[in-house]
Amino acid sequence: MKILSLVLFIIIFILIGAPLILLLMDSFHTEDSFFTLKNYTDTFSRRSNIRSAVNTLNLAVLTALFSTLVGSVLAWIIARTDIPGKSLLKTLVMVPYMIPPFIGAMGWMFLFGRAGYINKIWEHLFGHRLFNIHSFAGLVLVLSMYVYPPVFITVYTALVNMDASLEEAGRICGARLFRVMRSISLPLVLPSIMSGTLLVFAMSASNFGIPAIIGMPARIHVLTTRIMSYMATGTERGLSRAISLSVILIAIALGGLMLNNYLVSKSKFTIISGKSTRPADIKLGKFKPLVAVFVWIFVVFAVFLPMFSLALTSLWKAWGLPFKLSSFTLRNYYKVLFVDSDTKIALKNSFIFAIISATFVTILGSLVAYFTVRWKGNLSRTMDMLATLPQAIPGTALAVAMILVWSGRFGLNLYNTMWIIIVAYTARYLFFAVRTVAGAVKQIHVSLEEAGRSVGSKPLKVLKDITIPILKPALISSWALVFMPTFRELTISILLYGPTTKTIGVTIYGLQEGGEYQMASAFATIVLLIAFVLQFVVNRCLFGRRQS
Amino acid sequence: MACIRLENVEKYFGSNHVIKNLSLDIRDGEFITFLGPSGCGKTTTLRMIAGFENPTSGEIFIGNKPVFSHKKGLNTPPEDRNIGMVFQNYAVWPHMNVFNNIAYPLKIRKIPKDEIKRKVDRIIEIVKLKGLERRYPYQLSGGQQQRVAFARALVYSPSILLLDEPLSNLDAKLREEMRFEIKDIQKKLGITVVYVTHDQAEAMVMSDRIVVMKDGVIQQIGDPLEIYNHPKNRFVADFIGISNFLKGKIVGDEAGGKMRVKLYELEDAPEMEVDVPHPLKLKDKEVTVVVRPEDILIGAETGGRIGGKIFKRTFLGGIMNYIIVSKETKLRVEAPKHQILEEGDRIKFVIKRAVVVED
Ligand SMILES: Nc1ncnc2c1ncn2[C@@H]1O[C@H](COP(=O)(O)OP(=O)(O)OP(=O)(O)O)[C@@H](O)[C@H]1O
Ligand SMILES: [Mg+2]
Repeated sequence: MKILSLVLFIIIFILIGAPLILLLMDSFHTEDSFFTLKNYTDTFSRRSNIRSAVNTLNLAVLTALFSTLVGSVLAWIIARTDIPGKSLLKTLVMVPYMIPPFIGAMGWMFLFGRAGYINKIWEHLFGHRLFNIHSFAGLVLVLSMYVYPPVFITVYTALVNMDASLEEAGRICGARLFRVMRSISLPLVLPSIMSGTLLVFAMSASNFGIPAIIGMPARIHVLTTRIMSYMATGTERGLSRAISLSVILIAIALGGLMLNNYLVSKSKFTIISGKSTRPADIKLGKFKPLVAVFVWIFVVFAVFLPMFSLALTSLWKAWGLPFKLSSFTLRNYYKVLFVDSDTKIALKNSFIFAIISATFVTILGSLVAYFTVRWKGNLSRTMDMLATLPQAIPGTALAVAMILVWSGRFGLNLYNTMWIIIVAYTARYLFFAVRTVAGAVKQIHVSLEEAGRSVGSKPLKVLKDITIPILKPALISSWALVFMPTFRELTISILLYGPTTKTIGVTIYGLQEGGEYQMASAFATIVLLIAFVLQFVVNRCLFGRRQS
Repeated sequence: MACIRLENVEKYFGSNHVIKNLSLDIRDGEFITFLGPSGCGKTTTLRMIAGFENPTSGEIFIGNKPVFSHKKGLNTPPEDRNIGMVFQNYAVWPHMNVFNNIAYPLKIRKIPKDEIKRKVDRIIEIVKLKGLERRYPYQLSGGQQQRVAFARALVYSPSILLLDEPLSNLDAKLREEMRFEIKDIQKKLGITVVYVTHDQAEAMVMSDRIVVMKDGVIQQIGDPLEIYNHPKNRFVADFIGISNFLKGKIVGDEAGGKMRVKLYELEDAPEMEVDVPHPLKLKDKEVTVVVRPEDILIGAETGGRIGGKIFKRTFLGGIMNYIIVSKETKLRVEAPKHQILEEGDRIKFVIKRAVVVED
């Protein structure tokens, strides 16, 4: 057992620890000197690099603030007021979470791009465009629309679970509803709001897809896109710049998450009590129609319109044809699925990568989870820390780190093969499995296993007959949790793909960049449909079954 | 004036009829307790008085002013009813320290700072929280949190205090102490208290009057002694204290609140005078008679003439508990602790007092 856990630790270290350490070391390392800040000073001697770092910070801060506002207000309305259709709204508002941000960005671009549908209609009516999405404001807007769900769900949960008597105590001793909201409810959910804000801050800094599609056409660069450009040069210098920027990017994202952990550990109160009633809905009275209209307008804009514009574009024969039935066709779908070799290969690749990574992650992650839960100690703690670290590391930076390790420097060159992508996916999503399975392992009391041992089973047989069957739901759900984001992944694969290993994300991005909007959106629509169906199946099978 | 009146109050949760045509007069300065089994609607009634639930129909008056009327479409929000309330889980705000928790109602009322300080200090004195002003709720014990909740409910001198099982989360010893303290505070401040509990001892010790409820219907209203001595029906007799139920055949007509019945389920089928405190609806010649355990005396020297046998003995500290059998009927008896009889002993006993209840 001791040996097994040591082997496991070495695997995790090579998978996650080594690349990150190498990234950090290389950032301080030049040909002439072992430790120097030269890489950083060189990198930031260029104004555009400084600007991309500043842009990342600005974007992350503004997006965090804006999506906190949007997420919290929506959460309050849907959790607490008497507007109709609350459970439907709750589902709809969470839909953007399932949409890959770069696909969502395409939808927004088709609405508010230079020739976007809404802009064109507006120009027709008023003679000018309504809004240019390719701007910093557009970037903040679109990014916010895809990162507010975590804020929404944390605040929503806090509001719904808040002990109603805390508010009632305020009412009964004389405070009006809005006074109670301000001086009691808001301070009580503030820790949840803050936590959501910081999470969104890190997510926004790490995002690649939206800045690539919305920002780059307007030459607005952030760290992730800048790193991608440097990597695309393929030069030694480009790599060195990308490394420095990656370290800065990690620092920003990690900073946000560490601040969050610190605040969470410091918050002293819980607002949920055992025997509590659910707070009564606040009657909006004459404001009800107004609030309902506001929420539905939001849902239409944030959820339906981008998907609608995507679907519309995918049916168009060519961009800019007149709006009549003869301009529409299903040919784009046919081409994506049956004709175009690039898209067919991408579909195959992505499914293979996702299946292999999900399997790797589940096996490795459950071993890590099992060891870290059952054997306490420094080794186990370090292993747990390492395995869950990538959730705080932006995918772009992780991909750069992977290249450092797996492109022949240590005798093994995986570059341009599918394995570097799979290794990166495995490192990136390992924490899903570790978290899911660790939760389940904790539920299995040691005595269950000891009971197996005591009736004479060998340890491995106990594992096979008792432990694994009990863990099965957790294993399946962690497999699905990894499969879903990897099969439509862009951020990592765009840095690691080779001529034969283009993924769905890379291919859609390429089509979009090349102006083949119809093909890009047809492919994106197919991906969305697959994602929704998978999500539905997963919800049904995993969560539906658990309830019954 | 802080009387409370409920008139024909009905409450439905969906199709669940929770409160059924409830009418009740609560007097100024009275300590009244809602007592009943879990789910009978005590909390719901209290919350309707507070204004957190709206009756489906009926009217509620506080100090003769209507605060809710279904007919007139009137509904005063909780914050305008000038009521204090202590919640079962205390609901002390975790983000405010003790002082700020207690001062909050005064801040709402825009009372000057120095006066707030004076009032809070005084109430902190009364609830014995001195020295804990700067602590946060997570630094307080359950009992201390509860005192904060009390102080917060009392600091703005409401004329009514609503308490929903405020003692149920405390340990037995503290609970006993708090009973007297609450009663003490109530007397000191002359405030009307509506108290909810399912602990009958609590109700007995503290209340001026008890409202016994079952399934959303008031079974009986009366002072503790009356409820104990003259339960109106089988449910009340069973719920409050311990009761022996016997069947009796009426052998003489009712007169002056008394009636002669034959207890044919006992050996020798004795006849006796029993109390009839409440008007009875008689269907036939049979009535149900309640005998409290302490109203049965064992031994020929007590005048006992009914035959029986000791079935079981348990020692309960202050008293001796017997179960005796008389012609297959089992009766619980409380005897002084020095009266020691063995299981199986033949005995004679007498029933000193019995009361007729409705089924
Ligand atoms: N918000 C609600 N929605 C639906 N039904 C409710 C609600 N609140 C209470 N009820 C129902 O009303 C009935 C009375 O509840 P109530 O809380 O008043 O009982 P209680 O006498 O206070 O009981 P306990 O001693 O357990 O606190 C119960 O059957 C309960 O299920
Ligand atoms: Mg209750």
